[in-house]
Amino acid sequence: MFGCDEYRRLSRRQFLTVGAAGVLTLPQVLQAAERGRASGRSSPPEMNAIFLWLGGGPAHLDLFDPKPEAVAEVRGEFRTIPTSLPGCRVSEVLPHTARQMHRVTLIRSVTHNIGSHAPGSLYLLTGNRPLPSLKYPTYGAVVTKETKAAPDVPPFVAVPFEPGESPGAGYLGVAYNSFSVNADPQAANFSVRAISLPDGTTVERVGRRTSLLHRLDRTFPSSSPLAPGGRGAGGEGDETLAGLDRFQQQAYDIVRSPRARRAFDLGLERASLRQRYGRTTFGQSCLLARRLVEAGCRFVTVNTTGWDTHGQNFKLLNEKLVPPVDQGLSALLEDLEVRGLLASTVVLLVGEFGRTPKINKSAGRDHWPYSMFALLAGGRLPRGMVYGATDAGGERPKDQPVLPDDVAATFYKALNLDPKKEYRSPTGRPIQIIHDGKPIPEILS
Amino acid sequence: MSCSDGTAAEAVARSSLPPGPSASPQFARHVVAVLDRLGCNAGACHGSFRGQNGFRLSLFGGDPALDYEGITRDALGRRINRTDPERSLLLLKPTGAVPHGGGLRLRQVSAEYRLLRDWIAAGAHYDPAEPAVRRIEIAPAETVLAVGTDRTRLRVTATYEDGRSSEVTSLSRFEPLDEEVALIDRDGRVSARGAGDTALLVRYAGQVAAAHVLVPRARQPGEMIPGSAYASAGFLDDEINAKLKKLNMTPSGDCSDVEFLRRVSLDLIGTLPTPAEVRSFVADRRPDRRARKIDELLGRPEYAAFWATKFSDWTGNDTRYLANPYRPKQSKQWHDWFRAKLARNVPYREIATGVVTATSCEGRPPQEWQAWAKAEDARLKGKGWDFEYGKRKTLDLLYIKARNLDPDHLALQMAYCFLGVKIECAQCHKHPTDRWTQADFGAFVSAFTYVGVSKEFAHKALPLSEAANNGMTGINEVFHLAEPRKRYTDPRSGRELRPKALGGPELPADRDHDPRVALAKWMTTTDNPFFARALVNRLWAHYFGRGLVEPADALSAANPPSHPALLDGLARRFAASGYDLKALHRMILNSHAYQRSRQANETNRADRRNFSRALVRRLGAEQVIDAVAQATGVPAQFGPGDAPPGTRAIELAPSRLTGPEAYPLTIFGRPQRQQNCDCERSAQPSLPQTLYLFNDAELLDKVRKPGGRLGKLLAEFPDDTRLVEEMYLWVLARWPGKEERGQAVKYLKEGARRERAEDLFWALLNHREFLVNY
Repeated sequence: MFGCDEYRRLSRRQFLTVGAAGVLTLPQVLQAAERGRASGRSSPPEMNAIFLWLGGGPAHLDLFDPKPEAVAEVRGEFRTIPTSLPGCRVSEVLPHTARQMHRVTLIRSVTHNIGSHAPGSLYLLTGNRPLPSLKYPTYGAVVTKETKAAPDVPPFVAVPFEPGESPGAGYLGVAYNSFSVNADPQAANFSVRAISLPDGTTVERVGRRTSLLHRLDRTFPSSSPLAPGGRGAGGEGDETLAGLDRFQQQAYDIVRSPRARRAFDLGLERASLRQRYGRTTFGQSCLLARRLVEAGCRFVTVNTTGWDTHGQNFKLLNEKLVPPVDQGLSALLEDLEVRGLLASTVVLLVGEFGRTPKINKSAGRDHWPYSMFALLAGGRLPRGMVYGATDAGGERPKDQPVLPDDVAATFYKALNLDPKKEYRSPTGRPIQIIHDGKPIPEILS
Repeated sequence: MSCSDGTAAEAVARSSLPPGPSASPQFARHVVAVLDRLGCNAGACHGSFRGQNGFRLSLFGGDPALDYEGITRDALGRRINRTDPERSLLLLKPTGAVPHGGGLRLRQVSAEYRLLRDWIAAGAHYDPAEPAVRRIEIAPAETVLAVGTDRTRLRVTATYEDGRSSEVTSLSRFEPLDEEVALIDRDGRVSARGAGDTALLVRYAGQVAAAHVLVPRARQPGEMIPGSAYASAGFLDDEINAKLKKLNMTPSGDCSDVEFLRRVSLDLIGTLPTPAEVRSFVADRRPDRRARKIDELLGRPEYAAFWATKFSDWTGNDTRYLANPYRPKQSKQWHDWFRAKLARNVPYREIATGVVTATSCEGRPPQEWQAWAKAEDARLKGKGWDFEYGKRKTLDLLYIKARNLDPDHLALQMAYCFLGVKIECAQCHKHPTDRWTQADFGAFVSAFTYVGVSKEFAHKALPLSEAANNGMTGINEVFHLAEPRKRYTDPRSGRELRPKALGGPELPADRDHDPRVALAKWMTTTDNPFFARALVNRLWAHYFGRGLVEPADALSAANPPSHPALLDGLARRFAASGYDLKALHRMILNSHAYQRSRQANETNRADRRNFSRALVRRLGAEQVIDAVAQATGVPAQFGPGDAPPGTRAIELAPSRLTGPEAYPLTIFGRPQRQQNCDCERSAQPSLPQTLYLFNDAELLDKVRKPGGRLGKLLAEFPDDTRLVEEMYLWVLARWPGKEERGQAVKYLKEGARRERAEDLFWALLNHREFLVNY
């Protein structure tokens, strides 16, 4: 079963990661061993990702790229504050995040030219310029395909749901779609469809009827070890049946095992920590993301909307939009670090574009793809780095322009995945995960 | 393929280019071909759009002029050294004499090296007038090989534009499609590896052709072939059987009547048969009961509803792009249009013409159309969901949807939908594995540049209001434009391209001629190479889980059919029938090939492409939702803005949904109709699907719902054996076997009857049979 050989196969780094997580439970070690096997001895460890999506396009000037020297109709209403990263200032609406800036890599010179929500979102959610003829997969789908998650936790979860404009798994096929929580983690009665046991259902009952199912589901050969006479493994070579078998086993593992249910149970978290993340949908979503990653989930998308501030930009940001993100993001970074998870987890915070430097008549800012920010943290990414800058008016990158493709390639590289890996479309067309981008060498060598 | 794989270098070592080409090699014919053989112009190497390390070649040599430019002009001409050819970077790099990111591709002692060197030494010329290759032919086109010793060698002949031809085997590139069956080396030698059949692709000078290899399995001594094994219901079975005989494969026998009824009901009308239907079908002992059932189903309203949804997929009925605020209603008009045509069995030729040539007036006087539009607009604004749109001859909504999109979009859509051809590659470069060039693409798109869409109406027939859209919020006028709205040019010559059918004639286009009219005419002539084939192949793929060409929507030279004569024959018969859709369904469904059992025998266990047994296919999203509704007795609920109450999933029109069924429809792969690809409708299993059936509260509630199926059955059948039987019939559309009945009854007796019955119902919904057609 589990012997010394398995231990030796764990790379030192993995071992440290496991060890650093605190108590070394047998499932964790087994899981790490599984990863070691899957990736081979010399491969770098498999990473986790938490992707924070600011749907609508956040105003870069009012958040991470302030221009205190600019004229009033550009500068806006917010002042700037110093951060834990010397020389880096951010908007005063980010007081908590300011204290975490020494952990992050902030790119201020992201630029593109798609100023429309749907295609702009597709671009930033996939790292590829959208094409009418091909639907690229979102990051989580690629990570799900390329890595191995714990057997009894969904590998790719979207909280509260996948972004509306997301292409999902695109050409990779629905097998790699996210599992959408479809519920608000902040709600008092938060429960997750198909994970939480419905009323009147107990684990015992699930077990009982699953064994009934296995006694009855004998029409086709089965590869399930639970089925009597199982492991006949696809004698008819039918991938559909093999897939149904595999996912049925996984569903059973998830529903029966307490691991996923516990991961989704925010009530198990200390009240003070829940408070630290903020009692908001975003805050509790971040907390849930951390719990899921801890439990063996590989990719969590936290989706927020409402950043399309054409009017009342400052009021909306200050009173409604930013505080939850400031609190949730900063708590997440700190918490990941404290638990030793930041080394194995990459965080990316981005929206589909920036907003016009010039404030409009409704005290709003409009779509502006020519300059925007992306915030990364974790893994091998530099701790405390600002890359690139925009010009004095915040209109265009002044130097080191970075395309969304490059941000995505850097993200994948930080996740120890090769952004140039080639897949085949359903029609046999070769497609690289990221078609045009390259990891930014100054950030990840 | 990686740029620096070792296998290429090994292949180089083994290469034996025959003494071949004359002392002065020609550029397009020889040099480009050699670069292709060496892999230099592959997508991962210099054929990439960005090139590699500053050196770019056209993908697979599709554009010799660009290649010549790259080799002789760029990099200050250092790639070529005419005075000392061996000092050319073109030779130093691939031989590894100077560092090369792509590794060793070429050896100095090879024929390829000599050819490149000789070309440089002769002055490195390129004559753009060099006759282009019109086609390549392979001999033998079909080979039967035995595993082990048998070998054959393919001979490739190129025919040029000037009518001459020459052997080009040593300059061609070969690619096996299934290495488990047959291998081919760089010199065209084929060897068999395992039983089965496959195609081998041959590429030369931008042309692609395929050769077929059949590797029969060895018959075992004393192997019994049942007398009825190769039963035939006509031409279709004859073709399938002929190939199975060559492969020494015995097809599976017919499926049972109960299996047939479930299979054909789900396939043809998207609907699970009810217990009453199962009982009456089994009671029918007439020998032609299956043919009668097929006819009956073709007459049911679900037939038109289910296939209108398919046509909505293929024509891109994408709710997002329709006119606010009536988007879902307009999606339903779109669906209605197909549904009305399919119910009346309008010839497919007319349906396609109605899509391709759509205008709002469609030949009527403008005032007549506008009066109609006014009434239809009122219906859109009203509370109801009944429209007159289905009575129209043409589908102008498709153009209204595309009103803000580039004409490219329309061309891609039409080529995908009606020709089964994917031409998006040719938007930016010559299609690497098909014949289409950018000029072909531009000329084809131009057929869609003479169509305008206006909210303001082109024809001011009635006294119209000043308001935008003349007060008719949901109506736009689609009309013929006298001048094109966008012009396309040939990227090579810079000349403007005139509308042209894809691989077909020029299409008259001016103020009196809408090129779409001639396009539809070209499409629907009986000898069109794509139109009938594309539809026949799609239906085949629907019924068999795999097309004769697979993927089913990618007809191309590089994607040869598994049964060429069958595809041709079906297409010919379809055209000859006057494009009678129901007759085509009937022909396929009445075949033995369709009605086979899924039970494999020793001879066809490994078969997946010869239709020797039924393949297990996952049900489509709508079929799943409707089957759950019918089994549980709880109708599906869609958002009030999405569909009228009582709508079934198979007849649901919008691509964007709200309401409780939006989630399961999405996870089971209902397409959003954003891509021109049949693959957008996913049939793969996934974890969220299984979790939904396994543990979703909404699903379990349907099982438990008071007044639902289970409650009624419990009250009606106090006897457990009868209860089990009814549950099997409602969920799996069959009777339980003896063993199953015993297990189920035993389970019911071990606890509280209601709770145990819920568990049994759950187990049947999670039974893999429920989720597949088999």
